[in-house]
Amino acid sequence: MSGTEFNFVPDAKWQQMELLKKINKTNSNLSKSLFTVFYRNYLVWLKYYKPGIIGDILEPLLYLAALGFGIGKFIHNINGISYIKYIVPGIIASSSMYAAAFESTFGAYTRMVTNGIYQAILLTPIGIEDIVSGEILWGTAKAFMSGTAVLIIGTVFGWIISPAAIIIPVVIVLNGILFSSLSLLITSFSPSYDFFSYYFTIAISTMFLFSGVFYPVSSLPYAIRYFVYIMPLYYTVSIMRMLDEGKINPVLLFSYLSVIILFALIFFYASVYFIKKRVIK
Amino acid sequence: MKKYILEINGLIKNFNRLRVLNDVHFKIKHGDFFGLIGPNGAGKSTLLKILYGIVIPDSGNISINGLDLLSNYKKIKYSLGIVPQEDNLDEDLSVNDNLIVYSKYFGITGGESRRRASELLNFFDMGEKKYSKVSELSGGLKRRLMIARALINNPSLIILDEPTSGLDPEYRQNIWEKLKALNRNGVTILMSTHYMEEAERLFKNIIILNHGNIVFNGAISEITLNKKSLEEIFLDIAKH
Repeated sequence: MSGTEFNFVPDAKWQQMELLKKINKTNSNLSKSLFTVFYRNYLVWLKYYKPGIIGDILEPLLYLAALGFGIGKFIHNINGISYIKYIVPGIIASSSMYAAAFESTFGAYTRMVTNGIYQAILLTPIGIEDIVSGEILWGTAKAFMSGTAVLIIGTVFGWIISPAAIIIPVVIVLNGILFSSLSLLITSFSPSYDFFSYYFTIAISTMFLFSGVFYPVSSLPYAIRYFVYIMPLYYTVSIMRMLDEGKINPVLLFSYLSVIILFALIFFYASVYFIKKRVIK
Repeated sequence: MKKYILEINGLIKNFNRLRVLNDVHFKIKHGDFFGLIGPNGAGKSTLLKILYGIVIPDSGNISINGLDLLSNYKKIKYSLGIVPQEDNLDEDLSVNDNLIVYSKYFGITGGESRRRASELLNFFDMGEKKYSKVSELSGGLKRRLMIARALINNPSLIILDEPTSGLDPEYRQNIWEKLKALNRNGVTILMSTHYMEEAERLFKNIIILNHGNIVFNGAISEITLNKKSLEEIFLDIAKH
C-alpha cells in the first residue's frame, strides 16, 4: 500500500453508545493512562540505561564503601552497631532520594520544556493528572532501582541486621513517591536547568547531610534539630533504620509513615496544580 | 449523527488586557475541508489551541461531535487528530516508536498499534524511515510524521495549525495530496494557513480572522466571485 490508495476511514461509530461507554471506562482508568506515560519513559531509558545505572547504583555504593570503610575505621560503633552497618539504611534512603530527584527535575524538565513531550501527550486523551502520576511512577521506579541495589549489596555483605529489613523496599517506594512529587513541584516553577542548583544545594544536599544518614540526629544542637524535623528524608531514614535494626516502635512507625504520606499528597496535588498552570494557558 | 462536527458560539479569549478572540461563531459540517485564514496575530493559533485544550477560553461554547468541549475534553480527544504548529515529535524515539507510543495514549495496543503505524508510514511514503531517529529527518518528513501521528486514532476531525509552514514547494504539494486523499475518505479537516495559494487549492469553506474578529465566513467560491484573488482580499484585510 502506498500513496493516496490508503483506505483511511474515520471512526464513524464514534457517537454510538457502545464506544462512548468504552471511552468512559478508559477515562476512569487512571492507572492505564499513567502506565502509558511510564512506558514512554521506560522505552527511552532502555536506549540510554548504561550511564544512568552508574549514577543511580554505583554512586551510592561508592559512598557506602568510602565512608563505611574509611570513616568506619575511626568510629568503632554507633549505638552498639558498626559504622558501615549504621549508615546502610541512610544510604538506601538518600540514594533513592537522589535518583527520584534527578529524574523528576532534569529528566522531567527536558520532557516538559525542552522537548515538548507533555504538550504532545496533552493532544491525546491523557490529562495533566495522568502525566504527573506517570512521571512520579517513573521517578519512583528509578528510586526503587537505586535503593534496592544498596539493600541487596548490604544483605550480601552481611551489613543488614534484622529480617524486618525485608519491608524496606516498601519504604523505598514511599520515599520515591515523596521525592518525585517534591521534585516535580520544583520543576513546575523552574525557568531553566540552572535553577535546579538551588534545589539540590539548599534542599537535597542539606537533607543528605543533616537527616541522620551518617550520625544520630540527637548529636546535633537543639536549634538545628528543629530544622531536621521538617526534612522529609529524616522520616524515611528513621523508618528504614528502625526496620534494619529490628527495633520497631509502632507509634513512631505509624506517625512517621503518616508524615511521609502527608508530605507526598501535598507535593503531588501541588505539582499537578502548578504544572497545569504552566502548560495550559 | 449531527449535521455539524464542530460548533463554536460566542468564543472570547483575552491575554492580560488584550482581546485575542472576540465573539467568534462558526460551524463546520461533517466531511468539510475548512480553512482558517488571517494575518499574523489574527488569533488563528489561539483558536486552534483552545480546540485542542492547551488554552482555556474566557467565555463561549464549543461542541465537537455534539459534546461540550470543556466538560468532555478527554472523551473528545478520542475523535480528534491534532497537528500543532510546533514540532513536538519525540526525538528520543524512532519514527515507528513515535507512532506506537502515541497510539498507546489512545488505548490502542499490540498488533493493532503496529498495523496502524505501518499503514500510516506507507501512506506518507516513510516506510523505509521506520527505524530512523526523528532527529535524522528533514523538516518535510517531520511534518509528514506529525500528520501520520495525528491519524493514529482514526480521528473524525483533524486540526492542523499551518502544517506546511516553512516547507519547500515539493513537500507542500505532497502534504496537500495526502490531505485531499484523507478528506475524500470522509475525514473532516480544519486547517489554518497564511499561504493563499494553499487555501484556494484545498479549502471548501473558510473563515477569515482579523484582530480576533471573523471578517468572512462562507464558501471560498463566494469570496473569489468579485474577481479579486484571495491574496488581494487577504492583503486588503491585513491593511486594516
